[in-house]
Amino acid sequence: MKGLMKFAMVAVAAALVPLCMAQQQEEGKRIALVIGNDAYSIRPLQNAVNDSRSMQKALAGSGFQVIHKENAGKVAMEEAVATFLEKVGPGDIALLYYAGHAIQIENENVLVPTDFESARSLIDAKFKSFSLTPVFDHFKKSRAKSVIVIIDACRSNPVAQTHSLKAGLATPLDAGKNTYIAFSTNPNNVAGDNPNGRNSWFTEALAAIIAEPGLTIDDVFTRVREKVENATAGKQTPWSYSSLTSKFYFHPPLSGESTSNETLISKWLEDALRNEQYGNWSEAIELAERVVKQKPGGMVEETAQSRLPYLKAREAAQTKLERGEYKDAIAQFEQSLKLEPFDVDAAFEGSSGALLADDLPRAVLLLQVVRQRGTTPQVQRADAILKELAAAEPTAASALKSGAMKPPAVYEVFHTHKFGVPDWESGWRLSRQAAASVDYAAVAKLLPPPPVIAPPAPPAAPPVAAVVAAPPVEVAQAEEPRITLDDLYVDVKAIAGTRDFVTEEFGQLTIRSAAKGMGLMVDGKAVSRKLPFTVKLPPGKYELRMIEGGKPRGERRVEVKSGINTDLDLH
Amino acid sequence: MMRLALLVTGLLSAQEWTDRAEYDLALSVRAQPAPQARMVLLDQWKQRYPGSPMRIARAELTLGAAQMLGDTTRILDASRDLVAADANSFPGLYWIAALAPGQTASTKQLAEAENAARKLMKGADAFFATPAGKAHAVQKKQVLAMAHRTLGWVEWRRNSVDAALVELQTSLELNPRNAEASAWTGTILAPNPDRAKKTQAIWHLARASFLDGDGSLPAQQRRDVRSLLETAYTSHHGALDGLEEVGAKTREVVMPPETFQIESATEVGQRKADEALAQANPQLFEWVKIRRRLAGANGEAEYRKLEGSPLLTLKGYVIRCDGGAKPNEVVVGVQDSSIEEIVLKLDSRAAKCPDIGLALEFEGLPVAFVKEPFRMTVGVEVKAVRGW
Repeated sequence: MKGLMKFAMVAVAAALVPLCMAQQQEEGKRIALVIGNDAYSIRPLQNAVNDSRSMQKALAGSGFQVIHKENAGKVAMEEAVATFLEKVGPGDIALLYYAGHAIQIENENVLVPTDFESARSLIDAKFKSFSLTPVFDHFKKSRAKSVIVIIDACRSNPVAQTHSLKAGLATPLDAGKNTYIAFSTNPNNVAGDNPNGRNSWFTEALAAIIAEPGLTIDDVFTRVREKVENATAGKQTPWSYSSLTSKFYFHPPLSGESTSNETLISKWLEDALRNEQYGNWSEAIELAERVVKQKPGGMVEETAQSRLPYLKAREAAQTKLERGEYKDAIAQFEQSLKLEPFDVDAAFEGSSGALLADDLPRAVLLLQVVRQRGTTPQVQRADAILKELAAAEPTAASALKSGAMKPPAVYEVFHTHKFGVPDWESGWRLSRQAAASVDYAAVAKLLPPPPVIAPPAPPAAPPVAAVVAAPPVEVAQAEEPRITLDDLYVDVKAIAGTRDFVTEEFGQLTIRSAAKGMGLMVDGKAVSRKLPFTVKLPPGKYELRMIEGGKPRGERRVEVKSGINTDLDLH
Repeated sequence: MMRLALLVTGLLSAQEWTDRAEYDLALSVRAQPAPQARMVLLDQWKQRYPGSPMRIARAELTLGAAQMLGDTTRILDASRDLVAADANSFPGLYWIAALAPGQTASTKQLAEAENAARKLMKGADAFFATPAGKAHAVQKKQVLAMAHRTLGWVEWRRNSVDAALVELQTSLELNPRNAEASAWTGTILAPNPDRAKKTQAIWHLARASFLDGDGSLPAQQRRDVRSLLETAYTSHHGALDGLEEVGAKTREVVMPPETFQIESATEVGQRKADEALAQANPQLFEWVKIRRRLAGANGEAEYRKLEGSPLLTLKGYVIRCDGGAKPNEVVVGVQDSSIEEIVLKLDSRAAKCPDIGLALEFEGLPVAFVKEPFRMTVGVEVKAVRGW
């Protein structure tokens, strides 16, 4: 029964393969250049730098080494691109992200540096900008495994008006193989900068979606398209072009799904083990060697590596047996059993070789292995052979006489299982995945809203007492607004000269006096030095203090009623 | 030949199976690589041989298959089987403690989680001293950190916030690269109105949100924590400026340094108001600064530093006069004509009191100070007072 030759480690390997990080499966490194340009002298942008920061974080989070430049002029862009391209080598994943102005000149896409001011001609404009064409040329030479170019730059063209250029970007004609290109909108169209947001619609969606595990790059941009179309009411449709020949994941699936490389290598291993099960030794060896050559790391590589000596011994044993080289065959079968003690078929075949070599004691020993480790039908078969041998070979009779053999302990049957020791890696991974029961959003709702910071008083405004309100008091909770006389003082100034301000909640107080230069204080606060004046006040009783010539001239109490104007003439 | 003989005889002392059929069943499990199918066979094994001497091994195999399936319910079931068969089963306790925070926080489950975590901590020394444990010695700190993190969770669910914070801090000390423990710490502290707690909460949430690589949060949790961080930060600071810098600091250090401060929104407002005032009216701003120092806790000492030294040129609004028709004192407000701040002690009586609200510009020497109600007396020469 060849089925016994599949091991617990096979299952472990099969289950762990999809969990390996895509980065580990890729032969090379992930490297990205991220540029965000806002600070143009003509048509500056608001969000491109923020976009580049968001992307820098998103890409770093998905395993990219990121070179990040903000507000790059021509020289800075050239240096950054050169540094980036120097780092890109065979097998690498290279990603270029650009947010800022870009234009198309003669169907060539060029990025606009921040120090671009004006151009005499299209040729001049082209040389003052940064063409993507040589970048694509270099990518082709670099033998990078995949190239991803994301341009969030199809915004209003800063030079189009003066040079009759087409709006938006051109369909890239010069991209090589294994390249993915994404624009924030379709070619020849213009994308928005999202003036009310912190990021462009395109990058806002992209940076968020990149973080989701298990999405291929096609999935990512399908979702980005959906989001941007919704946000712009269909006015902007991100566009992408792909010549990738394998799936690319920013974040690989957490579990249960598989990436292209992972799937392929995992399948090789599975096929190797299946061939082992059916005794196709050379095919199994070829597949296991292919897995090892790919250096996938982890349990996959370990499993393939550990199976190879056994597979080779088993293949050699079979070959020797078929060639009639029985002694060598027996030695190889024994070697196979040493490497895989539960290969009961090797024990059977080895016993056959021993019988053919007329080495009966050896055949009996190999059958004893079967009797001990085999399933009940295998044991019965071994017993039947021993019965036939018993007449000629005393050890066979003795083996039968000693009765049934005890099977090996469970710990030997599952010898690859680490009994008594937790699987730390699984523990860490699953506890992280399963521990998402904190409702962070609910906690956020418990927090007080951001306090409203009053803008600083304009220089011309009179100094107010609040300036010296030290030490500052933290605003803990939003409270019902309370109107103080300090507020009223400002309010009085704000409404001075208007008439129609009596509301149902407030009353109105008009104070007149024939005396000139008289100061007036309401509840101890100076409210005006000019009479007559009108003030709206919450209903209630107020104490008025008249001051003339620096001396108190008198005090009065007045009641203000809601919706009523109280006219007070101070004699 | 000898080697082969040893292979056979070496196994004669094998552990007892209930019968050969049980062994056959175990072999069928062994031959099945697919975890789902393996689980079915393990269930059959358990059903047919519930009291098997192999039940601990079987539960561990079930645990392994459940791990491969990512089935936390089956992992916990198998772990409970293990602990039922051996109360100190390290794998059983480990998984119960590890997965507790993802489970319903019933009183029973919290008690189970606490028991598992405490037993893990108690048994860690012994476990890592065994031959099997020694091979995994590097995991000891991680296991202890996980146990403290689970205890932190348990205490948090029980609303024992202080105890939870102690456990989580211990967990972070043992394993600083644990964004989850940082996230929980920050989440516990965030609603606390105390300023120090609020800034600590922001630090921990930032650490959870900004930590990359080993120990970082899964993408969705990270986004949720980031959202809470931004809410907490804006709630305290008023805007998101400076958050990236805070995040960068937290990448390097797990606990907030004692000197760590984040300017509150009120302070931001105060600073901006000061900056505007300093630009618009530097003279008044200088007085505001003096007054803040005098009105503070060390007001008297601050005044002694000023006493006897000429005060900067100030402008004050007349509020009242003292000393009769020919006053020898004029009370002015520098910031507002309604707030009495400075008493101008005249070197000679004035002919009359200036008009109330009149702005006077003066220099002088501080001669007296009363903190409450605030009043500074400044000796001035009548002739040197401008605007009269």
